[in-house]
Amino acid sequence: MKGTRRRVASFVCAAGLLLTLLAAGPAGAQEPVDWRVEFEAVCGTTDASMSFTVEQLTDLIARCDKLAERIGAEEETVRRVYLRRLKMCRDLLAFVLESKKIGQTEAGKPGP
Amino acid sequence: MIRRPALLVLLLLLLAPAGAAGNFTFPDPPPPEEYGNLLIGRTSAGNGMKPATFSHWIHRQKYTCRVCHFELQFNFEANSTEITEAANRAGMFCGACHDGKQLFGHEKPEDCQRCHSGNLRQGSEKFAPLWRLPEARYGNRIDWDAALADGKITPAHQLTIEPASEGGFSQTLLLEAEWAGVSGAVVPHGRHTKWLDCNDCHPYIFNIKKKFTEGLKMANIIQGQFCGVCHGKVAFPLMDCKRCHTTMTTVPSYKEPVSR
Repeated sequence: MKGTRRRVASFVCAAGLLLTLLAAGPAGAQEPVDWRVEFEAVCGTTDASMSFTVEQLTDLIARCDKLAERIGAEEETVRRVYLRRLKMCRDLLAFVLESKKIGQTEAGKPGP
Repeated sequence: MIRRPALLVLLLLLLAPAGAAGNFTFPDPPPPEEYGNLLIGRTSAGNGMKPATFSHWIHRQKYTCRVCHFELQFNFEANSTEITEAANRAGMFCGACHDGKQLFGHEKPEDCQRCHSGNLRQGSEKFAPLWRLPEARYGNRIDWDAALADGKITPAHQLTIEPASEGGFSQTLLLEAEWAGVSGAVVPHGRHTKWLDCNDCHPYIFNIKKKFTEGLKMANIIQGQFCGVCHGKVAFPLMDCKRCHTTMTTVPSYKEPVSR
């Protein structure tokens, strides 16, 4: 009887611990505390954009869109200044992505 | 059978491109210590202030173009950036450095005049020591690229946004010239990325694939488009033909500023 209780208690503890860990989620999935950190990380990639894959560029553009929502909630001056910069970064990434897609399509075409 | 006047016109048309390089008119160059100086006064007059003087050659010794025109978000076109005192005081634009701690800021009334002088020659007394830097023919008469490459100046390339790559994209492009007798123009990305971020030029000033960049002509560049956004205003002037058209044989001579 005692053994069964102990097993149930251990199971409850383990389940509780697991639930706590799941609720916290992996560190990478959490939103950065400060949007500026994410802003600097995303916009810092522009000078290497030519070396990124289509998947990496798509991911960065998605991060820009997510970040735009966060900056949109800031006060007016910050919002105006940083959203503009973010748009410029996003536009470059989108342009490189488009160029890469065109390049991939052309490379896939049969030769003359 | 072609008539004489028609033949003459035809000959002139054929010969015109060869001589076109010398036919561009450039504005008279300012003195070296004024080249790249601006007056920024979008809202100054309305606030009872004189325009602020900004000198590229003063700031370029400490920071690359990337810091101000990428990180701090100053547009290339003067007086088009929405700089306000409130934004400066909040640490944006000039206030990122001019915060009263790193550099003089916006708190002490006696500091206002240090920028808001309305005088394009403000700070020109600090120019003479720069003659130690490598020489160029036009502009500030300083070869800033060489000064950077030789380590004679060591401007910071970032404040808070760290570039993802070391040195950036470095491919050199050769753009075909539109005129007969003028060699193609080289565009060394490596030299530009030492100063700028890719995002400063792409995609708004230049589309990445050169064939997509329509209107890239000397006449438009002189009007301040494409290369002319910087060259002719703050970077070496367009009259320094051979810096881009490196193998050009007949180089027209333009009025030079005072000797060093």
